[in-house]
Amino acid sequence: MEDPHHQNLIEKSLKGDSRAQHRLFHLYVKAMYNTVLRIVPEVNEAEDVVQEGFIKAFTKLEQFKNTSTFGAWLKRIMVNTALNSIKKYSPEFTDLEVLAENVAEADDDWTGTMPNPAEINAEVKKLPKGCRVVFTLHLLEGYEQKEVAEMLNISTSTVKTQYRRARLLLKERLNAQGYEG
Amino acid sequence: MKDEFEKYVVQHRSEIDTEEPDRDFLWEGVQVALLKQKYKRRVKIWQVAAVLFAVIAMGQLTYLFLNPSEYAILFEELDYIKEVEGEFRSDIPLVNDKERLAEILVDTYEKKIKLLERLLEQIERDEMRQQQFKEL
Repeated sequence: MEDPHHQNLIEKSLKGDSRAQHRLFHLYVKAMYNTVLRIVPEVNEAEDVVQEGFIKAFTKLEQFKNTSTFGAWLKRIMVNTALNSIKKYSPEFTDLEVLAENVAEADDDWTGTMPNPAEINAEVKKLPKGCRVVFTLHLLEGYEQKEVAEMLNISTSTVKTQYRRARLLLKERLNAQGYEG
Repeated sequence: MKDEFEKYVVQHRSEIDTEEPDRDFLWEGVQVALLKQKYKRRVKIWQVAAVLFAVIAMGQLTYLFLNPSEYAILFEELDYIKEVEGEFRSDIPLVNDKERLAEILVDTYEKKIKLLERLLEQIERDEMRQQQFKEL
């Protein structure tokens, strides 16, 4: 359930009030942009996705039921739009299924000094597409691995392996920067 | 069960969002697209009004002026069109891209001109029919 002020903005936006839409946009644009940028790393493409996502959200606002928060509903629209965008430009997305066997055996536990959040963000964006998207959706956006599998149309075991692969690569790259994992 | 790294990431989730979007640029695109959609819906209302007007012009224009109360719904429709047009104008200061806005406004005026031309054609056609009827 949204707070009354937030609810008021949503109701006004539903009636086409541009000022209310503008305020909702300002409240959410940074979070949405950062999420999209981890799925679609190219800035111009990410900006197109964010604009398209907001247009869809304001146009279909009557479909928003208060069963989730507006933020969660909007984020799902952004994630779907971003996934469509990377599928459109990169049909080889199915390479998620091609995985190194040694991933399952490696140690991805982090026991030392935790890295700076900004460094984590920078390294996440440099990950290969498959594991970057899985890591973003599962750990950063909080979707269950089963949901991620459905969103990407891949198996849950592939999601698990890609997630571990992301963890290993992050550990390796952040270690190289002086953080001890 | 989350391990230490996962717990740390979740706890510092908002700090991970470090990129600043170009808010004005992004909003401009969203705003223009929403205005276009809003305008498209309004054009449909104009089209309905144009058809109603044309029907009236064909045979009942005199009657319309003598009995405006009979056409209260039409007048309400016309008032509504005036109202939505006013709303559109109030949205103008919110748009930064003046060039794109000018395109939308030119498009609006072109549609209005087409509507007036259509009305004129209907009136001329009606006058011609009446003339032919008198000659019979």
